[in-house]
Amino acid sequence: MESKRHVATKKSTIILLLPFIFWGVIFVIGPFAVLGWTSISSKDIYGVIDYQSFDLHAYQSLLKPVFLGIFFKTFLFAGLCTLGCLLLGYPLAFFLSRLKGTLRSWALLGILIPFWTSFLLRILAMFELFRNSDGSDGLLYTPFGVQIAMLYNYLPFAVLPLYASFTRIETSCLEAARDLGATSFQIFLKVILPLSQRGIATAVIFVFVPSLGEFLIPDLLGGGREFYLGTFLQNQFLSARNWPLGSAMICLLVFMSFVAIAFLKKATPTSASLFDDSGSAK
Amino acid sequence: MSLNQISKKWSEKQGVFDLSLDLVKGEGFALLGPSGCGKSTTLRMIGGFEFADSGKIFFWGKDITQLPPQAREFHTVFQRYALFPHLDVFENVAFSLRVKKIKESEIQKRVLRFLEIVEIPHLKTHRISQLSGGESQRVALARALVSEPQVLLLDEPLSALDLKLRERMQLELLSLRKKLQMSFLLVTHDQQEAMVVADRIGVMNEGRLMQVGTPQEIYHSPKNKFVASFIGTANFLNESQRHFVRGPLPASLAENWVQDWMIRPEHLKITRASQLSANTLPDNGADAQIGFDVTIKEIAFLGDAYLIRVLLPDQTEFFVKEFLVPEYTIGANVFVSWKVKDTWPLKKAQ
Repeated sequence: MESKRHVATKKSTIILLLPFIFWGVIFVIGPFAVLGWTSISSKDIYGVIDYQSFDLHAYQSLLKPVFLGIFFKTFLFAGLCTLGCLLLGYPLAFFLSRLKGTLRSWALLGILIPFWTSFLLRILAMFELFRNSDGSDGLLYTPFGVQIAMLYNYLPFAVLPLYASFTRIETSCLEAARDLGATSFQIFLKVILPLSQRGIATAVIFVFVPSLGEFLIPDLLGGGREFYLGTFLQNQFLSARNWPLGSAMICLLVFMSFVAIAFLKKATPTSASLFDDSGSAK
Repeated sequence: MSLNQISKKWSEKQGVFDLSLDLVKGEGFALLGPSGCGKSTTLRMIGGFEFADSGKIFFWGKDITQLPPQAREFHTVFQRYALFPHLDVFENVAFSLRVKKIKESEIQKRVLRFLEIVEIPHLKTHRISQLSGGESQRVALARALVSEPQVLLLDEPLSALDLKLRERMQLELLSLRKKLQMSFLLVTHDQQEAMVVADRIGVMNEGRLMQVGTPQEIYHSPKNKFVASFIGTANFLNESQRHFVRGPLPASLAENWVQDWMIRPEHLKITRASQLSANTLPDNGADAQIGFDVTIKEIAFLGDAYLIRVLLPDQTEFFVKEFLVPEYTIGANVFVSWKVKDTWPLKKAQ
C-alpha cells in the first residue's frame, strides 16, 4: 500500500512539473545552448555567423584591457550597489520586523508600492529629479546618478529577504540576550547578525546578480557615456553585430554569477540550503 | 527584594495595580493567577523588560526600578525558552559568560558543571533544533543559572511540556532550588506547579495581589472566594443556604458567620440518609460534625479517588471527594457531613 502511494505521488509530481520543464527547456536551456554555441563560432565581416566553425576568438578578445576594464567597472558598481542596499536595507528591515500588526502591514505596503509601479516610469521620474532646476544636467549622466538610481531600484530586493529573516528572530531571544547581560552591540554581533546571515546572503544575491546585468539604468540615466556590461552587451548584439563576443561575455557573466552564489552558499554556516525556510527558530 | 506599590496600566482592567511584595533571600516565591492577571507583567518589570508607571523596586535596599535588564543580577527562564537557534547547547549556556569576557578555561568548567547539574552533559554539542521540550527546558535553566544570578525569574517555565514531564520537572526544579540555595521567582497559572516549587505563593487576580502565604495557608485559609476557588476545588455555602445545615452548630462559627463558608471536597463525607440523622451526629468539641441532605448527581472516577457531584435542595452544586468505592447510585438521597473545624469562613468582600 505504502509503496504504491509513493509511486502515485511521484507520477503526479512529474505531471505537475511538466509545464515548468517544458518552459525551462524552450526558454532557458535551449537559448542558452544556442548562446554557448554562438560564442565559439566565427562570424564574417557583416556579422553572419558560421555555426559549422569552431573559433575561440571571442573569448580571446575578452582578455583585452578594454573588456577587462568594463568587467572591473561593472563588478565595482554592482558591488557598491549591493553594499549600499545592505547598509540602507538592514536597519530598515529590522525596524519593519519589530513593528506590530497593522502598522507593519502599512509599512511593508510602503516598501512595495514603488515596486509595483512600472520600472520605466520610475527611471524616467529620476530624469526630472536629477536634472538641475535651470535645465542643466546635474546628476544626470553621471556615474553617481546611475549608482543612486540602481540603489533605489534594488533596495526592495534587499529589504524583503532581510525582513523575512528578521521576522524569524523572536523578540524573546533578544530579551534573553539582554537578560544574560549582553550590551546592545553584543546582541547585534552575537545574536542578530548570525541569525540574519541567511537573509544577508539572499539579499546579496538578489541585488548583486541582477545589477551585474543591468543595462537600462546606465543606458538611460548614464546617457550611454558609461559602458557597463549590460550596455556593452546590448551594443554587441544590436549595433556592433558581434554576436560571438556578446555570447562569450554572457557565458562568462553567467559563470561568474554561479561562482558568486556557490561562494555565498558556502559562506552561510548552516547545512540547509540558502533559500530554505525550514530550520528556523522553533 | 522589595516591590513597593508598583503599577503598570495596559487598559482599564488590564495591568498591575499598586502591587507590593517583599521577597526573602533564598526563598522560592510563586506568583499564581489566571492568564491576563498581570503576573507576567510583574515579572517583566522585575526583569527590567517593562518599566513601572509608578512605584519602586528595591533590591538589597537599592532602587533598581529604572535599571535595564543587563544591569540587573537576575536571569530569566522564558516561557518558550528563547534559546539561541544559531548556537549549540554549550554556547547557549556559555552566552552570559562570554559577554562578560570570562576566561575560556573558566567558561569550560562552569558550563560543564551546570550541564551536569541539569543532567544533560551528553547534549553539549547538539543543535537547539534537535532538542525535545524537556531538554530545551534544561538548557534554558542551565543558561540562566550558569552565571549564578542572585534571583532566578521563571516565566511559566513548564507550560510547554506535557503533563508527565511537567510533574517531573516540578520536582527537579524544587531539588535544584534547594541544592543551589538560590532565590526563585516563578510565574505560573498552574497551582500544582506553584505549590510544589514554591515556599510562598502570591495569588493574583485582575492586576492585584489577593493573598500571600505558604501553600498550606493559601489552600486551607483563603482570604476570599477567588483564592479559594482558584486553588483546588472549593464548595461554598452562603447565608441563605444556612437553614439546610443540620447538627450542633458551634457558637464560634455561628457568630463568625460572615459571608460564605468554604469546605474542601476531601473533608466531606457521604453517609446514607437513613443511617444518620442530625441528632446522631457526634458532638464532642473539635470533632463535632454538621451536614445536610443532598442528591447524588454524578460520580466520576479520578484514578486515586472518586469525585462526586451532589445537589442541595436548592440545586447548588457540591463536590465531594471519596477515596473508597462509593456504594450508592446516581439519584440517591444521601447525607453529607463534615467536621466543624474544617469549615473555613470567608470574609465579606470589601
